[in-house]
Formats: sequence, C-alpha cells, structure tokens
Amino acid sequence: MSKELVNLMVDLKEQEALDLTTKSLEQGVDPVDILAYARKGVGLVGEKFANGVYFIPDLVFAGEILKGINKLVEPYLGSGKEDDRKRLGKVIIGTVDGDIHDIGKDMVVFTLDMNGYEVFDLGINVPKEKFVEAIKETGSKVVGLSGFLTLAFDAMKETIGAIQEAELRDSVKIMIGGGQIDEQIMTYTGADAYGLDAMEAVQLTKGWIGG
Amino acid sequence: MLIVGERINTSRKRINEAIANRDMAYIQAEVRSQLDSGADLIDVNAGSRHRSEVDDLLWLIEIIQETAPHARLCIDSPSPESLKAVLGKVKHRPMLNSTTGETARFEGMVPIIQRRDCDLVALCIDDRGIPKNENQVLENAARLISDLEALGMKRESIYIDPVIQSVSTNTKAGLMTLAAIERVRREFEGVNVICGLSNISFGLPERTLLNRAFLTLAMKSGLNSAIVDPLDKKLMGTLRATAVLLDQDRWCQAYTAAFREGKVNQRPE
Repeated sequence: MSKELVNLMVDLKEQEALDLTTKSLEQGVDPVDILAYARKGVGLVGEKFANGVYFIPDLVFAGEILKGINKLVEPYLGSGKEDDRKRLGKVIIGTVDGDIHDIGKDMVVFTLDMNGYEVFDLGINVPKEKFVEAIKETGSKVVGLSGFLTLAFDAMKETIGAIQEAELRDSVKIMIGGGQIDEQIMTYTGADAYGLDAMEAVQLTKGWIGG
Repeated sequence: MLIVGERINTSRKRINEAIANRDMAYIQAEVRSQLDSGADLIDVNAGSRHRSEVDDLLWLIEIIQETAPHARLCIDSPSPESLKAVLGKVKHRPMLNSTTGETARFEGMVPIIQRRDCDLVALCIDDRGIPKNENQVLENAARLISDLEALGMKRESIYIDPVIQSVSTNTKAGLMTLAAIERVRREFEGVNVICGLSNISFGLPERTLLNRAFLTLAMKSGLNSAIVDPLDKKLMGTLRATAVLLDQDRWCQAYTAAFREGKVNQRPE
C-alpha cells in the first residue's frame, strides 16, 4: 500500500488516494503509517515544484488531498493528536508590519508544514510586539519574517530590535525572505539568514533545529 | 484604454543597474521605446533600491522629462513621503501610484492630493488587508471614492485598482476581480479602473498567455486602464484587437494604423 499511496499523491490523483486510504484503514493499516506515506508524497510534490515540473496550484492541490486524507484518518487515531509526536520543531512565520503580501509567506508556511514542522502563522501586517509575544508563548527557536515591499526592510529591522529588547534574540534564529532581499538587507535588518524560496526556509530551519 | 508603461522599475535587473550607474542613455531609450509602442504614461518606480528611492526618483524624473518633454509620468511609490519629496519636479499633471484605504497610508496622501492636481491610483486594500471577496473590493472602492471626493478630487481622476490576486492559489480569483471591475464601473459612474495585470498569473507557467486572456475579459468587464509592458507586442496586439471588438476603436483606426507600423503583426519575426 505504501508505495501506491505515495505515487497517487505525487500524481495528484485525489479520488484514488482517498479511496485507497479508506480501504487501507478498513483493512487495519496503521493510520500513522498512512499519514507518513501521504506526507512523503507531498514532499515529492514539493521536489517536483522545486524542479519546475509542478507549479503553485499543484502544491495547493497536494495540500488539499492531504487534508482529505487527514480527515479520513482522524477517527482511527487514538485520543490526543498522534500527529504531534512527528513534529520536528516550532517555527513562527509572519509578514512584517506595513506589508500585506501573503503568497510567498503562505508558501513558506505550507512547505515547512509539509516537511514536518509545527508552524505558527501570524498572518500579514504583523506588529513587532506580536512576534515577541509569539516567541514567548510558543517557545519557538526559529522566526521567519516575510516582506515584499522595500518598506518591509525597516519593519524587519524594528521587529528584530524588539526581539532583542525583550532579551529573546539569543534564543531564536531569525530568517528573512521576500521580494528583493539579499545579503546587504540581511545585514541591515540584523537577521541570521535569508532565503530566496520556500525550500531554503526548510533548509535553514533544518540546519538550526534539525529534522 | 489608458496605457501606463511599467518598464522603469528597479525590480528589473537591467533598470536597477542602469540607475545604480546613472546610465542616462539606457533609461532614456527605455522611455522612448515605451512611448513609441503606445504608452500614454511612463511609470517610474525606484522602490527596491533601499534608502535611495528619493534620489533615484529625482534623477529619473529629470532625465525622463529631458528626453520626452511631453510625456506624463506615473510616480510609483507606496510611501507618501517619497511622493511628496519628488512631486515638485514633475512638469505635467502626474499620476500617483498609489494610495490604499489603510489609515496611515491614506492620511499620508491627503496633503499631497490637496497640494497638487493629479490622477491617483487607489488600491482596494484597507486595514483588514487584501480583499477576500467581491463585496469587500466594493466596500473599499466606495470608501476610497467618497473620501477622495470629499477632498475635492474628481471621479475622473480616480483610478480604482481592484487588486488582482493570483489564480494559482485560488481559481476563483479571476472571476472575483472581473465581477468587481464591472460593479465599480457601474456603481460609481465616471471612475476609472486600472490594474497591474501580471499578478493574475503568478506561480504559473507561460504567464503572458494568462495575462493576455485576462486582459480581454477585464476590458469587457470595464477595465479602462492598465499598467503593462508596452513592448510586449503580443499583449499590445491583444489589447488593440479587443478594443476594436468592444467598439472602442472607431472605424478600427488605431488597429489598422498599428498594423501599418508593424505593431500588431503576429507572425514570427
């Protein structure tokens, strides 16, 4: 069953993947394994995206299929979210104050999620205080600041300043991403790293907190 | 259709280099070719060069007006401060790109509008962010129009931008924008609708194909201005052909003239 489900996910065969999930659950396959296969398939969809074979709608569609599988599997999982034990670590993501662009940010959230991280998506136009609060509340070790407008560079700098003031700077790694970001902007904002696409956000996170 | 030529933008690598090197000839050639290709206004955007936006804009405005003394400019910056700092240098009645319904950004724009007669692009965004449905676009448009009219602005000077979102994450995004364009034009007679087309195709291959198809639909819905690359012959050909079909080109004069000038010919060169 394993390879079949992975392949159906990779080929974005929604109905077939859902049918196979139902059948497998009825036959007593471990629901945790089913989720693992489904995730593996989504990971491969991400690779196809990175290679230019698949496009954004394919990624979103893969996410939808995974949601459908999750729904089918849920009743078979014990109480408490079995799912959680597989999470590799926590990451906070948000588009900084004054900027409302969300496509890039959403891609990063989606890709981190698919790769097994627990993502706290703060949304767009996020005031610096909210990032500080989120770090305190979740204990995340990684923060991603997104911004497309050039105005966002200052907001990123201010957000990182606020994190520093709250004496949390040493307990988190901060990555930035968005439209025009490069080494120079990274230095200006005081971030630890920058990424040009969603996969780089995953690589950075892996490097920092493993997984 | 009012065409705003989008090429002078620092997010384009060659333009960014030319501005960094103060390569006047390169920029001026870009401006002339856009005007030759049918641009009514030249958009000027230096936003991505961090901390030098105002200096860059001032330089651009000067050299563009030198090479094209009759050209109208569309000054493109999200920052009211930057717009205010450069506006005095703009000879002809400018278009400002842009304001939104976000409180801080709109309030920053008020003194500028009061000081200078201009056209204004107003994005249907408010403090809630990018509109999630057709009604929210309309609400934002209604508020922007009434606030701008209260400041003495004429409807004919207002260019509502419904904020096109990509179909790659939501395939209903195209329909939502088309419906919104139609309603803005119908419910606020005299107001213009403008948009940057290329957002529609973000994240998909062969983007220009989607952009062209959407342009046709949007013109039918009432789009009467667009920020585009006028050197994109296929796009401009589609635009001119659509104008004929929508009875916006009397006796097909613009279309046939464009043909004679080699501007709508679709055969490979």
